[in-house]
Order: sequence, then structure tokens, then C-alpha cells
Amino acid sequence: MKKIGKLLLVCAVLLHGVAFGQNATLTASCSKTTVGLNEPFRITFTTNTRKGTITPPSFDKFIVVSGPYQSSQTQIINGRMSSQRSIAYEIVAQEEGVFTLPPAKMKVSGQELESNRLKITVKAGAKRNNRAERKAKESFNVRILASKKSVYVGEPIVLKFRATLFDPVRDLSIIQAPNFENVLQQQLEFKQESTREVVGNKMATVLDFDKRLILPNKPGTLGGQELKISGQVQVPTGRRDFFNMPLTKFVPQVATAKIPAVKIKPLPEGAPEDFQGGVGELKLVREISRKEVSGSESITIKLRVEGAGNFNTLEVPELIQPEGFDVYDPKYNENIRYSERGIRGYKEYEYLLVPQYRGSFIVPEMQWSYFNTRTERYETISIAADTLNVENPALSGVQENSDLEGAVKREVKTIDDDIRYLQDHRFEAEGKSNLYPWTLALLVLAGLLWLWQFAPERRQGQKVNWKKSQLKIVQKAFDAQEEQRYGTMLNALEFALVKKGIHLEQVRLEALENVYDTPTANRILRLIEHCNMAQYAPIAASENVHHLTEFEEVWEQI
Amino acid sequence: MGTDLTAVADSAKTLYDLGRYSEALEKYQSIYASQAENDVLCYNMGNCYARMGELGEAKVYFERALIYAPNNTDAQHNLDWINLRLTDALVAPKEELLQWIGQWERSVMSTEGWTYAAWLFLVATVVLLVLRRTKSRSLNWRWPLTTTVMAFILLGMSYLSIPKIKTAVVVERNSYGYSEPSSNSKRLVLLSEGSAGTILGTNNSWVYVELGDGRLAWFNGEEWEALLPPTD
Repeated sequence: MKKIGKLLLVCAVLLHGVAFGQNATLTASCSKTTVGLNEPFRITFTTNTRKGTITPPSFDKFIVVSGPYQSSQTQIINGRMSSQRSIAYEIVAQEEGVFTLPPAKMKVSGQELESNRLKITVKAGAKRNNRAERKAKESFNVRILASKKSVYVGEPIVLKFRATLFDPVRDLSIIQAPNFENVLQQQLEFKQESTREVVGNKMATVLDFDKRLILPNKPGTLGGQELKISGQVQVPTGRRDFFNMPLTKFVPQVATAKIPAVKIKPLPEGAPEDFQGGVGELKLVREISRKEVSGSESITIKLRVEGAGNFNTLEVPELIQPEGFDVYDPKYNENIRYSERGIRGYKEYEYLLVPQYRGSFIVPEMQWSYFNTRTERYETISIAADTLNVENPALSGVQENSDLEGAVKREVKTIDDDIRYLQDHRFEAEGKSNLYPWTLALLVLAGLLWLWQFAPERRQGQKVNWKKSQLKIVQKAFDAQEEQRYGTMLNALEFALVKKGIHLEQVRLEALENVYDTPTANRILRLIEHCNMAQYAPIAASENVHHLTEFEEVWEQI
Repeated sequence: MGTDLTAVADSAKTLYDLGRYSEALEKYQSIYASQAENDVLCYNMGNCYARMGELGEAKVYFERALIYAPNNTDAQHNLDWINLRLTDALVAPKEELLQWIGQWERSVMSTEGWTYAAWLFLVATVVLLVLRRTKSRSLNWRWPLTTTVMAFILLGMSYLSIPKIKTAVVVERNSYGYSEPSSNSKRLVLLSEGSAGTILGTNNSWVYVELGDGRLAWFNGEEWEALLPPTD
């Protein structure tokens, strides 16, 4: 225990030395102070304290290519512990000049630390220091390819961002996209595929890594905007490993490209009056759902601009409405797709017309102009007039002086052309009664009664059973003319009397009269006598029937 | 209390006659909570929505009236009138056989009616079984068995006649269908007001809907209304 205590004490003293025994510092350093344009270099901020968070300065004139990379280490030399933390960024300069990088900051125990400022000189033609960096610079380049060199306002251009890789490159990413003004920019979805080509006597991998559709909306010149991409290039270090294989490392590299000049021409003079800005290869379509209407049907008219063109800005013309119809607010539909072929799809207004009068009505002719980029001329689309015939007999006929050609205003408003009126009802406050418990109760009751049906009948059942069985035995004995048939009858009578508490030896009229009425008692006594006599003297067959009938009647009363 | 509800309905009718449809609707809505399965109330609310130009909502209430009273000819007429004006609305998938049977049953008798009919046979069963056991043993057991079977059939029909419709209707001008329950996902379909579909599931405020043409998509639930009001 004492040893452990000593060890803890030593550790505490050492840690105290790390935390408080040194002055906390924050330093900034860079891998080089003179760099070329687009040449990545590393900025590192280092502190010797374990506390606090390093806040880097803003890199206004630079672009961060990668990072932040964080590292920390602790070491004990001659019993003295020291600690170091660092945070690093790979950055590139955006323009030439001499720049002073502001200090990084860090707060430790309420005290704010600042790093030293770094002075960095950026020269366009600065030479690379070592062979690996020179090799990395030549490893890949980027180009921007424009689909056209000259377009009209509203005519789309496709820009392809193409990288040519001479060495293996990883983590290819755009760090600065071109900044366009007065254009619609749409990134296109496509599958990245690379090809192997010979470029300048070297095999290279050519990769289109981005495609953008540009739709200018003002005349001028497009171009000059810069694209910057970064990647980690695999370059040899000049050393070899244990197996004599060349060692390589990944070096950050930035490549830039400028957009080629594309002239954006204004649309030619002399636009038709009805021109509303449509540019491309377009069509105007008017679809009428039906031209003959009977009953209370309605008509749908769709007015649609379709094809390829500047769908982001063009507008569908309004329908010139026919007379004699209620026209509802149109419904708007669109389906627009962006692709390398430009912007394709349609924009559509859908009108609902409900006939108000019977007769023939004209949907007027209409015209619409647009600028055709293929013929480079304004073109006008004309849609001829259509006639709609309304045959609904519920609508009224024609008046001579009507404003509507060939139509008559209604005199009586028809009911079927409208929704029906409200219904009357006496509302009951009570909510619906819950029938479920009552239904369940009835089901349970019925179930119990069904079970009751199968339960055995106790007293009454037994009584019925012995009476029936004894009667059957006697009847069977007489039917079969058995010798002991009168004995059987006597046994049955004895059985019945015993159940009443009268034993055969004690049978007297008085005893029987206590239980039965007098005639029944007499009949029982006579039957007993006949049975006793029959055991000693044969009885005629005709008497058998009489005695059995007598027995059955008495038996019912017993 | 019943008189109060009728008085509210009468005042709503007066407002409707004056062309103050939104106020009439508010009156009807105030009694809707306790009368949600009343076909006349649904019908009258549908009329208010139709007059206000909200055809999707009107369609919901006329459909609802027809669920509870399939023989309500006025509701059927007004629904046809609405559908005439929602020409591009997508129809819901066809009903299942059991739903169709349930609708037929409701056109014959209400759910309560079917239950009361079952009760009659259950009571007859009870009486016959008691008689058979106590008074007349000669009563054939087939009679109570028949009444019992009839009671069970009627109870089954009563259960089938309970509406179980999962159809919902677009009540906004348009409703976009997405591949996932997020407006950032891919747009699959654009539906117009009055389009109907079957709700297969929900995710927060999103509903997963099967359309009449078999397509499936997620829609914003606020743009849809179920034909059957949610039960508490």
C-alpha cells in the first residue's frame, strides 16, 4: 500500500509539472513561406498544454484543401514530462502577393493565447522544392468543356468537368466551383465512367466527374470563372522497403481550369408582339376533351407548351375562353427534365368548362410565338378555331338578339345542373348505445342454456326411467307368454310399493289407502291377488290381456 | 340536448340560405364531434364545402355520407356533380369483396339493425332452450340450433357492415407523391384535388398511399383526408 501511495504521489507531482510547471504556448508554422499559385502547403498550430481548444484564423485568401489534422503526444525525458498538441491544414493560395496569416487563438485557464503571425509570399512561377512535389503537379489536370461556343439568351449549354489522371489519384473533389451570374445552373445526374486514353505520349485515365447545364438569361460573355479541384496524388519517395519495393506517399495537389469563353447573344430584333420569351424547339398544343356535349357533362381544355427550351422562364399563354361556359380557374401541371440535351418537358394549364347554354360555341383561334434556336428565327404557332356543340336538353334554347352566336340564354335555371339542397334531420344528443355488452350477455346466456341441455336430469329422470323400465319388463314378459310373467308383474308392484314405504307382507287395504285413493288401492290389491294365484293355477290367455291392461292403468297411477 | 343540436343545425341552414357558407359550416362542425356517423350532417357539410369551392373536402363528406347511408340519393347526386368537376382526379383502388358486401349490407340495414336482428334470434334461442328443458322435452333440438346459427350469421353480417374503408382524398389543389416520407426525396407523382387512394401506412405526418393505377408513394398527410374520420 505504501508503494502504491508513493507511486501516485510521484505521478501527481509529474502531472502538476506538466500542467503548471511550464508556460503555455501556441505557435504557428508553415511548411514553406514562399509558395506557387495553387501549390498546397501545410499550416500547423502547436501548443504545449493539454487544455483548451485551438481556434484557427480565417484563411481568407486561401482555400483549405484538406484538414484539420489533429495530433498529440506526451513524452518523459529524464523524468520530465512534456506534452504537445497540434492542428494542421493543407491550404492553397488563391492569388499572388504577400499575405500575413492572422494568429490562431486558444483560451487556457481564463487566459487567451495567440500564436505568431505567418508571412507567406505567393508567386505564380515559384519552383517546387522537391522531386515528389514536381511529380505530383504533373500527375493530373482538369479541363472544362463547353457544348457550344455561342448561344442565344435562353439557349442551354452543357459544361463538362474533365480530369486527366496520369498517376493514381484519390479523394478527387471540387474545392471551388465556378461562380456564374445571370444564369440558371443545374447539376446533371450521370454515371461517372473513366476511359483510358493516350494523352501526350502518356497513358492517362480520363474522367468526366461533373456536368452542369447552364441557361443564360442575359447577353454577354460567359467564361473566365475558375474551377479548382484537389486530390491526393500517389508519388514515389525514392526509397525502397525491406522487400526492395519502391515506397510511395500521397501528396495533396490542386488543379485549376477556366471556363472557355462562350458568347451569349441577345435574341434578334423584330420579335412578334405575342412573343413572351420562349426559346428553344417548342410546340403549343391545345387539347379538348370532347367537342360534343350532352347531359350535364363538362369539357376540359388543356393548353400545353412542350418540347425543349427555357422552361425555367417561359410562360404558357392563357386560353381565349369561349362564350357560353363557366370557366374555372385553371390547374397547372408541369414535367421538366434536365439532361445533356437541354431542358425538356412541358408546362400545362388545364381549364374546366361547364356549359351554361345549349348551342354551338367557338373556341377562338390563337397564336403563340417563340424563338427557334435551330432555325434562329422567331416562329409563330397558330391553332385553328374549334367548335363545341352543347346538346343538353336541360339547358334553354336560343334568342335572336342574344350576344352569343347561335345560342340562347336560359330562362329557367335547371336543378340538375347544381348540387341538391340541404337535408333535414332531428339530431339526437345521445351517442350511439354500445350494443356489444348486451350482445355478449345474450351469447353467454344462450351458451349456458345449451350446456344445460346436456346436463343429466336427476330425480324426475330416475323416476321416469324405473317406471318405464319396469313397465317394459312386464310387457315383454306377457308378450312372450313367459311362465314367470305374473311373478314379474308382482315384482314390479312390490318394487313400486316399496318405494312408497309399503312392504308386500304388510299390504292391506288400509295401508294402501294411506298412499292411494280407494279405487286404486282396491285395484292394486286385486292385481296382487291375481299374481299370487297365477303362480299356483294356470290362467287363460284371454285373462292375460285383461290383467296386463289392468296393470298398465294401475301402473300409471302408481 | 337533442333540441340544442337541431337548433344549431337549423341556424346553420339559415346561414346557408343567406349564402354565408363558411359560417354555416362552422355551425355544422360544432356538432360534428358527437354526430360523426350521421349521413345527413356529412351531406350538409359537403354542401357547404361545395359552395365554398373546396371540391376535395366536399367529395370527402359526400363519400362519408354514402358510407353511412348508401341509399342517400342526394349525396350520390352531389358526389357525381363534384366528380364531374374533378375530371383529372385519380380514382381509388377497387374495393375488396368484404368492403363491397359491407356496403351492400348498409344499404339494406344499419349496423345496429343487423345487431338487433341477431338479438331476436338469440332471444328465441334462449326461450326455446328454457322451454325444452323445463316444459316440453319433446321439443326438437333442431329448432334452438337453427335460431342459434341464424343469430351467429346475423352477428357476422353486423360485423361486416361496420365501415373499414382506408380510402383518403386529396383536399389541396395538388399533392406531390415522394419516394420516401420526406420532401427532399424523389418526386414520383403529382395528384390533383379530389384524387383518391388507399392508405397503407403512416410515418409522422406522411401517409403511404396506393393509387388506383397501382403506384405507391408517400404524400404529405396534411394534403389528404381519410373518408372515415379517425376514431379516438
